[in-house]
Amino acid sequence: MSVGADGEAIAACHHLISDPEAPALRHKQAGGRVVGYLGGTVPVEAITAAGLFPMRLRGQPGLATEAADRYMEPVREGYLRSILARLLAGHFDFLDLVVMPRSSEGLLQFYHLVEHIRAERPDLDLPPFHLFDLLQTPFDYTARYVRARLAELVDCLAALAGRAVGEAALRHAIARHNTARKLFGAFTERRRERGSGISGVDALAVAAAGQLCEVDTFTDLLGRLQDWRPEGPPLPRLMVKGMPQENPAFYRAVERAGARIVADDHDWGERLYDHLVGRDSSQNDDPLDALTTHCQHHLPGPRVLPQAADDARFIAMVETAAVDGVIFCLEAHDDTLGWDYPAQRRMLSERGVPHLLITGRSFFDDDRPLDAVDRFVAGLRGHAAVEAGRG
Amino acid sequence: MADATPARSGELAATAAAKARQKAWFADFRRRALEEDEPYVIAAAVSPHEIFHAMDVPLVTNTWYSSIISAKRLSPHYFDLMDRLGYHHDLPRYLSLPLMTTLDGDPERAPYGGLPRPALILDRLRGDYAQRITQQWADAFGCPAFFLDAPAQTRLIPDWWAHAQHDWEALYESHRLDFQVEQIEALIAFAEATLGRRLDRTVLEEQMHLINRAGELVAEARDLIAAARPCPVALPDQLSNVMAATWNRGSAWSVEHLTRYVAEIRGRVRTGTGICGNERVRLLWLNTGLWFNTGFYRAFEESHGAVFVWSMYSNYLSDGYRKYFSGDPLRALAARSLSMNEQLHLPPWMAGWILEQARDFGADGAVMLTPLGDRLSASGTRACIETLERAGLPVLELHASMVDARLWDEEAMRARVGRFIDTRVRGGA
Repeated sequence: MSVGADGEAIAACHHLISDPEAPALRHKQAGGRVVGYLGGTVPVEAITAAGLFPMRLRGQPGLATEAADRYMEPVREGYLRSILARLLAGHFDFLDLVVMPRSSEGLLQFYHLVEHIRAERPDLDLPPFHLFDLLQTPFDYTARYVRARLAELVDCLAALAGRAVGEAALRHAIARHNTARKLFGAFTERRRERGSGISGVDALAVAAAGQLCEVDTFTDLLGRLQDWRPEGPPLPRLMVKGMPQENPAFYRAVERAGARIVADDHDWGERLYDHLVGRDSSQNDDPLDALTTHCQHHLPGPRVLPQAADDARFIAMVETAAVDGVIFCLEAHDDTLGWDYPAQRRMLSERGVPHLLITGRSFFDDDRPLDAVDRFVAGLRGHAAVEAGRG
Repeated sequence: MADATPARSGELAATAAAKARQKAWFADFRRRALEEDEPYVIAAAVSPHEIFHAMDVPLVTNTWYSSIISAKRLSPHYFDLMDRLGYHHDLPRYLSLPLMTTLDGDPERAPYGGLPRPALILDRLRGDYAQRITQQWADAFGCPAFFLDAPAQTRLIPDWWAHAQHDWEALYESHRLDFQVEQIEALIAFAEATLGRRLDRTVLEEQMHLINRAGELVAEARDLIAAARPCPVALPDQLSNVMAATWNRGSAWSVEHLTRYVAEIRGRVRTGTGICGNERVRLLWLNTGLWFNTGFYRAFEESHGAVFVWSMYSNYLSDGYRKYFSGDPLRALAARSLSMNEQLHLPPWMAGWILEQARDFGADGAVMLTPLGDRLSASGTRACIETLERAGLPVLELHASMVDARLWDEEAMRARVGRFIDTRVRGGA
C-alpha cells in the first residue's frame, strides 16, 4: 500500500470513525451548532443549508446497555440500543437537535421512546428531537405529503440557525453535497478496478467519514484520495448486503478470510452517495422537490417500494461491481430484510453468482473469524482458480 | 339467525349468539367467495374494512386465516415450507402463514381448500415487513395489492382515550388526516375499478353512525364490569362479544347484539352474580391475546381467587373506534385507522390507557404476553412495563409463540402466574 499525503487522507477517515464526535465537538466549541441524525435517509443538505453541522449518531459496541435495556427490548436493533445507552449516558448532550427520519419502524419507535423517556425523566438533559415523517410509497399524494414535511424540517432548522433557509441556500448546499457524491463515485470506481487494493474496511471508513464531518471537509478528503491507488493481489470480490455495517468488525472478519469487499448494499456504505440530488446540470429544479424525490426513492431504507425495483437495483449493482459473491448479513431478530432474500437468492443463482446468508449477527459482535465466511471465501478462491485454469 | 344456541354454564347467552354469528359469517363468506367465486378482499386487521362492508364485498383478514391455520395445527408444515423456501428462522411467522398456504399450492392441506385468488389485498404499512409479505402474496395470487402508508404521530397528547371520540382532529393531527383521506379516496377509486361496484357514501355514513352506537354500548358494558364486585363477565366472554361486534362493525346486528350483551351484564350486576365465588385478586391481561388458549384466563379463579377482568379487546371498540362526526364520514374513517397501533403499543399511550383501566377496574396486577420471535409485537413492552411498575401496578411478562401452540407449556405458565400472584400481587393466596 502506498503511503503519503493520500495515505494520510485514508488515515484521517479511519481516525474519524474511531473518534466520531470529535469534529462536531470542535464545531460546537467554536460556537457553532450541531444537528445529529439517525439512519441514512435524512436530507443533510437542509442541515448544511442552514449553516449547521450535521452528524450521524453512532453506537458504541463496547459500551454497556443496561440503562437502555430498562426501556428497550433485547430483540430491538443493536445500534439503536447502543445509541439510546449513549443518549442516556449524556454522550449526546452537546447536540442542539436530533433529526429522526421515519424510514423504518425501528427509527420511529425510537423517536417515540425518547419522547416518552423525556417526559418521565425530566432530570435527563436530552437534546430536542424533530421527526421527519419520510414515507416512501411511490404515490403522488405521498410525495406531496413528504415535501410538506421536508418544508417543516427546513423551517425547524432555520429557527435553530436563526436565519432564513431559502431556495438559493438549498441549491447551494445540494451542489456542495453533489460535488462530494461525484468524488465518492470516482472513489468507488477506483475501488472496483481490477488490481485495486482498496479494502472494504477502507471504503467503509470513507463512507462513514462523510456522515461525521462537514461536506466541504469530506470533499477535501475525497479530493486527496483521488491519487490514492493502492494495489493489491487478486482476491475474490464480494458485496456485503443487509443490516447496517456501522462499524468495521464484520468487514474485517470477511477480508481476513482472504476476500475483498468491493460493493456495499446497506445504509453505511456507498449507497449513501450513489445518486445525485436532482438534475446536476439544472439550477432551476425546485430544491424541495429534488430532495423529496431523493429521500423517497434513492436513499437506503427498508420501506422503499416497490420491492421489484429495489431488487433490480441490487442486481444491477452486482453486475456493475462484477462481484464474485454476495454475503447477506442479517441481524438477530431481523423481521424485514429476510423476506427479500429468497427472491434475491434466486436472481443471483440465475446469474451464477454464489452467495452466503449469515443470520443472527449482532451489532455488538467483534471481528473474530466466522467459519461460514471462511468456507465461502475458500470456495470462491477455488472457483476462481478453476476459472483461471480454464482461461 | 342461530342465536338460540344454548349458553354454556357460566357463559353469557350473548356469547353463544356471538359465536353463532361468526359461524354464520363464515358460512356466508364460504358460499359467496369460495363456492360462488364472488370477488372478495383480503385486508389487514387494522385497515378500513368499512369501505368494503359498505360495498357489500366479502372480506377476510389475514390474521383470521392465520388463526385458523394455527388452530388446525398446520403451522409446523408451513414453517418447514418457509425453511425450504429460504425464509430464515427469525422472521415473524404469524402473518406469513396465509402466504405459505398459497406458495405451498396444496389446497387439500390448506384450511377450507385454501383461499382463492382475491380481487385485491389491502395492507397498512405499520411495520417494515407487511409490505413484503403482502406483495409476495399478491404476486403468488396474481392479484393487485393496495398499500396504505402510515404517517407518524409527531406528538402523543396524554390521555388519548379522552380525546379520541370527539377531539380526534387535534389528537391525530390534521396533516395526517388530510393524507389519510387522500389515501382512502385512492383506495375507493381503486376498489371501485377493481371490483366493478360503486361505494354508496350514504350507506357508509349510516354504518359509521352504527359503529359509534356500538362503541357506546361497549363503553356501557365496560363501566358495568369495571364497577361490579364480583366481576360479572369472564374475559373470554368479553372477547367473544366485543370482537364479534368489531368484525361486524357497521351492521345493525352489532348494535342489537351489544344491546343484549349490556342487558345481560346489567342483570348479573343487579343480582350480584360473579364468575368466581371467591374473588380476591383482579388482574389485567396486557398486549396480545392468548387466542389458542382462552381457558388460561380463568385458570386462577379456583386456586387463587384471581380473575382476569380486562384486556385491550374489552373496550377498544368503545375508546378507539368511536369517531363522532357530522357531514363527510371519510375523515372520521381516516381517524379510526390512523393511530390504532400507536394507541395500543406505544409506551406512553399504551401505559396511560392501561393505568386508567387498572384504576377503574380496581386491578391488583397485570400479565403481559409478549410474542416470541416478533420484534414488532415486542416493541414498546419493556418501557410500558417500566411505567406500570413505577405507577405501582405489578406486571408479569410471559413470552409465548402465537402460532405454535405446541410450544406453550401450560404447567410452567400456570406456575409462573401463580407465583406472581402469591408473591407480588396484593391479596395473593
